[in-house]
Amino acid sequence: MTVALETRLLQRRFGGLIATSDVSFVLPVGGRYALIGPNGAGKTTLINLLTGVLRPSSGEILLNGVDITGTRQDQRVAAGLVRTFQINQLFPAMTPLQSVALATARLLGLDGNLLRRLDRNQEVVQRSVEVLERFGLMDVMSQPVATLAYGRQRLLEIALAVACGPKVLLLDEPAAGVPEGERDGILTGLSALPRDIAVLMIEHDMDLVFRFAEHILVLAAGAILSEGSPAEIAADPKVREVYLGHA
Amino acid sequence: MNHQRVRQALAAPRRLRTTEFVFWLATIAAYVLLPERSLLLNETAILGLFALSLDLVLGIAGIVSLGHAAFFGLGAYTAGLVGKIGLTEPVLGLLVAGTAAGVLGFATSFLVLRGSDLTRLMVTLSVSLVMLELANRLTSLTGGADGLQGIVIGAVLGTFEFDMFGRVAVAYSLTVLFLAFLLARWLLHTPFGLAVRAIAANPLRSAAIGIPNNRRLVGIYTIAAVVAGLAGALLAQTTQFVSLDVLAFHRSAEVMLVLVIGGTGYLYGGLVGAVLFKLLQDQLSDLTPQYWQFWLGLIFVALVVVGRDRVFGAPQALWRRIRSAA
Repeated sequence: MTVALETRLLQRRFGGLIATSDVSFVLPVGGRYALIGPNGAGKTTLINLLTGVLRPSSGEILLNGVDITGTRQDQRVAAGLVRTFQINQLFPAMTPLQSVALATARLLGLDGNLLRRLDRNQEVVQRSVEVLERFGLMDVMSQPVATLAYGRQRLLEIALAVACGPKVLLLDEPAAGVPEGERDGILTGLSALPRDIAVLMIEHDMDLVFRFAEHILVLAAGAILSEGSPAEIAADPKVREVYLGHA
Repeated sequence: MNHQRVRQALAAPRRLRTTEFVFWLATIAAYVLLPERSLLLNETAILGLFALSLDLVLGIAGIVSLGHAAFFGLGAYTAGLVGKIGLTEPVLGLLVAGTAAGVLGFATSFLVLRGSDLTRLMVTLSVSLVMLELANRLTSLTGGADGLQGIVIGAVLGTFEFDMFGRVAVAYSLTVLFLAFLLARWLLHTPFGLAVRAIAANPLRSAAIGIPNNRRLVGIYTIAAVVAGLAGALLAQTTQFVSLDVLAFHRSAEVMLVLVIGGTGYLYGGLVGAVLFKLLQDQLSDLTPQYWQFWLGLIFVALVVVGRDRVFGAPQALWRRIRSAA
C-alpha cells in the first residue's frame, strides 16, 4: 500500500479548546475514505489543517511522503492536495468552462501568463473537455455559473477541484443541500473518478458514505474514535453511541 | 466535436463587438469633426485613460482605491522632469513616467493585499497624501506650490510637433489611450486576466484551486499603476505644466466617480464615464460658471437613484424593440 496522505499526531488548540487532538491516519493511493462524526467533532478544523488554511499547533502532514506541514495553500494544491467546499465556492460571473479552463491553466502553470490564449492551448482544451464531460456539464458550459441549477453548481464545485489534477481530493459534504433524488448524479460523478486519485469525503449523508467509502474514519471530540470498513463501523458500539444514536 | 465547441467558447469573449467599433469610430469622428474642441477632447482622453487604470484595479481585481492619483501624479512629474532636463521626445518621457509609476505601484501593492476594503481605502489614500506632501516639500525638484515650470516637449517621435490648436496633442493622447486600451483588453482575456477576475470574485476558491492570489494582485496593481502613470504623463506633456493638483485628493475621488458612472469591470466604463463627465462639466460650466459643481453632483445623485442600467439600458432596449419590430 502506497501512502498518499498521512497525518502524524496532528493537534490544533484554540486557546484552551483542543479542536483536533492527536489525529493520525493514513490515506492510501486510490483510497476511497470517508470521515464522519457528529456536529462539533472537529471535521472542519481538520480539513482546514490539511489544506493549509490553519496551521497545526503540533504534528505533521505528509503528502506522498513529503512533509507539507509548513507550506502555503496554493503550494499544497500544486503538490496535488485539492479540496471542495461544503457551501459552493464558485465564480458566479464566469462560465463553467472558464472556471474549469482556469483551474487547468493553473495546473499547467499558465495562470500568470500574459501572452498565451487558452483556446489555442491543446492541453487546456483537452483537459477541460474531459472534466466537463465527466461531470455532465458540457451542455451548460457557456452559461454564467450563477444561473445554473443548484445541483449543477454542486457538480461544478467538484469538477473544479478535479480540474486541478489532484492526487488527493478532499470532499467537504459533496451532497450538502442536494435533494434526495439528485444525489445519484453526485455519486455517479464521484465513482467515475480515476483510481489514482485518493478521496477523503466528509459527509453527513450515511447512505452516500456507505455506498461510496471503502474505509471510514470516525471523529469525535477532535480525536479519531474508530476506523474500519463500513460493516465494522456500522457494528461498532462506540460509534453507535456517539454518532448513530442509541438504537 | 466537443473540442471544437470548447475552443470556440473559450475564444468567444475575445471577439470584437459591433458596439466597440462604433465607439472607436465615434472617437475618430469627434477628432476629425470637432477641431475647435481639442482641449476638451484631450482632457477627456486623459481622464478616460486614468479611469481605465482604476478599472483594472477596482473593476477587474476588486481592490478599492481612493489614492489612485499617486500614480497619475508621479507619472506627470516624471514626464515633466524628463522634458525639463532636455529629453524632449514625448514617447520617451511617457515610457519613463510609466515605469516610475509602475515601480511605485509594485512597492505599494503589498500594502493593499491585506485587510478589508476600508483599510485599503485608507492605505491608498495615505500613499497619495504622502506623495502630495513629498511633491510639496521637494521644491527644488518639483517647484512645490508654484508648480513645475520650464517643461520642454519636442515633436512626437521627432516628427509631429505640438501645434497651438492642440490637434497633435489630441491625436497623441488618443493614440496612447487606444493602445493602452488594446493592451488592457488583451490582458483581460489572458490566463492572468482570468485568474485576477477569479480572485476578485472569490479569493477563497481561487486560492483553493492553487492560484497564488497575492502575486497576481501585485501584478495587476503594478500594471494599473503604469497605465495611471501614462495618463499623468500625457497631461504633463500636452499642457507643459505640472502642479500639485495632479496628486490632489479630488483627482482620486473624481476618477472613481467617473468609473462608477460608466460602470466597472468591462473596461469601457472608464471611457464612457469620462465622456459623460467632461461633457456635463463643459456644458454646465458654460451655463453656470459658479454653480456647475452643484448641478453635476445633483445629476449624478439622480443617476444613482434612477439606476445607471435603466438610463443607459433605455437606448439598448429601444434598439432591440426597433429591430424586433422590423
